Amino acid sequence: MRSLVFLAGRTLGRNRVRSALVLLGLAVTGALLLDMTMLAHGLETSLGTVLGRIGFAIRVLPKGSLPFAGEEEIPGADGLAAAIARQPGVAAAVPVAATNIYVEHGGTRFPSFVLAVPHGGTGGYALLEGKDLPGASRPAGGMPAAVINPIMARRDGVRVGDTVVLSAVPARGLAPLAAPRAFRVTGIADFYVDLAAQRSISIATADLRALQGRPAGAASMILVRLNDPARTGPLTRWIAAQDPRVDALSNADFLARLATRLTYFTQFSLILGSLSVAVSFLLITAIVTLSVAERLGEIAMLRAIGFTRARIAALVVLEGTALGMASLPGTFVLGLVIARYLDAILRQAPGLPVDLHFFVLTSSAAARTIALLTATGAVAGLYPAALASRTAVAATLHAEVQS
Amino acid sequence: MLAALLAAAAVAAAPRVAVPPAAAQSQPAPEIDVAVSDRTARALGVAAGDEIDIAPTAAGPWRRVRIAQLYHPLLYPTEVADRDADVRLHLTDLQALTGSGDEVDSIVVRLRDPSRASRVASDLTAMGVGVHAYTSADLARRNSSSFEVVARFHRAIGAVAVLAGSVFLMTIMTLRGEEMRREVGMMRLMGVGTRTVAATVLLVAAAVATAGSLAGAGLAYALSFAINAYYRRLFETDIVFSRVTWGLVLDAGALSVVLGVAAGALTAWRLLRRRPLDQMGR
Repeated sequence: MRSLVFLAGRTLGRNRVRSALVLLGLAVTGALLLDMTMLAHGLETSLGTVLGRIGFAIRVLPKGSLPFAGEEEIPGADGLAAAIARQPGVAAAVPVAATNIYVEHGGTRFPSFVLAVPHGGTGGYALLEGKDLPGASRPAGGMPAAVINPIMARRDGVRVGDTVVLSAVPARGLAPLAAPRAFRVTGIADFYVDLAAQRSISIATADLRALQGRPAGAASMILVRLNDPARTGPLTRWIAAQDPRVDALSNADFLARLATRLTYFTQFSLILGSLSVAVSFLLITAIVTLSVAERLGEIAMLRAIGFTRARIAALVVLEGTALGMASLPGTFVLGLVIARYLDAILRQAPGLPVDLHFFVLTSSAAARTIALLTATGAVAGLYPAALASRTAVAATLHAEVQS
Repeated sequence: MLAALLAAAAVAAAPRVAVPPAAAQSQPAPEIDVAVSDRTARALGVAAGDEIDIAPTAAGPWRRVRIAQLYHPLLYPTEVADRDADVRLHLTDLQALTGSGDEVDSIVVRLRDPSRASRVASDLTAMGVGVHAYTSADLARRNSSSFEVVARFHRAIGAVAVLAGSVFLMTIMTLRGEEMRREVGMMRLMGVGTRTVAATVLLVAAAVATAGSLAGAGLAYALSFAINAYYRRLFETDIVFSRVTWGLVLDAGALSVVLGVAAGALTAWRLLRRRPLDQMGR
């Protein structure tokens, strides 16, 4: 084996310009392959990271829906959340409601996403500055509290301690249809999955229901935090059996449901990744075949001094494999640079949360690229290997001597 | 101004759909007729005349309806992967089902004089009834930003593909040049001028690039055909996913020939800077 590695290395190093060009070509096609493997599951991986950061293991949603994708709500969510909270291994079950609302500050009125939570300290957002909403036993009377996101603070100049007026309708002329209420901003928080220009505000669920003129009890989603992650499976099954109108999704289930909406990226990456592999295959086959054609005399010599056909074939396959492997450093450097550029383009799409990325380098994406490029090199070496192993020793040596 | 309007309204709330068990089909005929897309009908295993249950949410209330007709929807590219059931009801039926009174999600307005669209949209917004009116052009602009991003992404991917193709072409031409080394050495020893040799190499390069372009165009047509056939079947749609136009073929061919000739020039330079005897291996 060592002799084969030595010979393969010498062969590739013999013509440096040619080998450098082939490696450059393979690095470009390999970079495209790496980018496509990163793109295939990039959004899911990125969202999985965000979900892990938020810390809730199970999301209970109206059946067939995605979080905050519409106005659908779970009827009797407060009761279901209380029942879930009593299950073993459950740290908290938080019913949250979400909708769009209008916020007035400094004489201007703007739309905002509102996340209603039962009380402060639920973990629905991460406090960055100031104080959270009051706890479960909030004081009676006084101005209700609100927590805003940094975008609202930056764009609209809202500060901790300011007063904002919330209304379910966009214009003052329509105020009689929905009584506006004043809120004191107590804190600024990261809402985890905000869109690039999205204003968000969090208030108590009771306050949102009062604004909407709707009875309490329903919720857009129930967030469940577990003490014991092993309870995820049994608990999702228990919740589904408890109420057939809801879906209880673990983070993996949620990502799987989302994946059905991301077929464009998986199909696109499949097509372009396949083309990258095909071009790499052609490049390696062409270079190794021409290299073999130039070295027929050398190959006949090796056969004459005792190399078997199998060893000759192995030598040529090894050359192809070595080319594939040698292109890996260039593949990764170029691939990561291109991925950053492409990610920046796709992240300009509207309606995309700020923390999500399309191209994510994971260990599985890297391993898949390495395996595919190495295997492509080996397979591409098969045809020239067959040619080399069939070399007629005497005739070739005779022709070499004559030339 | 309002006299200029011919209004039509639509509610976009999506109802839930379920196929009732066969035993339940003997109930009184439902009063509501609906239209179901052919794709949804296939997924549910129902046909025109069948009865299905629909509800605004999974929690109900469920209502038995009759499928009056099937239709073939015109899907937008953003909708092809959407597997939700597609059911159309009369507006009043849907409002009654969802309990939304006379609420609608949007009102589509047809004008007798389309050139006044901007003015009418401004007037409607200024009425201060809590609505914002957009012209079709405004909506197209607002909704096309995703497609513009995807188009930019495709162009960037195309640039990377051109780069890969250029390096591939350069490599092949270098290999071809090395193969011609002895031949060129022989020509020069026979007295053929360097210009003639260079022209020969350039001609070979152009021929290789042209032949490659023709083969590439053929491959592109075949791949495009296969992609359209597969994805149209997969997504049950008439959308054209891949289109090879003459302009695209000509652009790609021209680029390929230019790159091929450039690679040939580099190869000719590398060949001619060596002495003929060196090229012959002496």
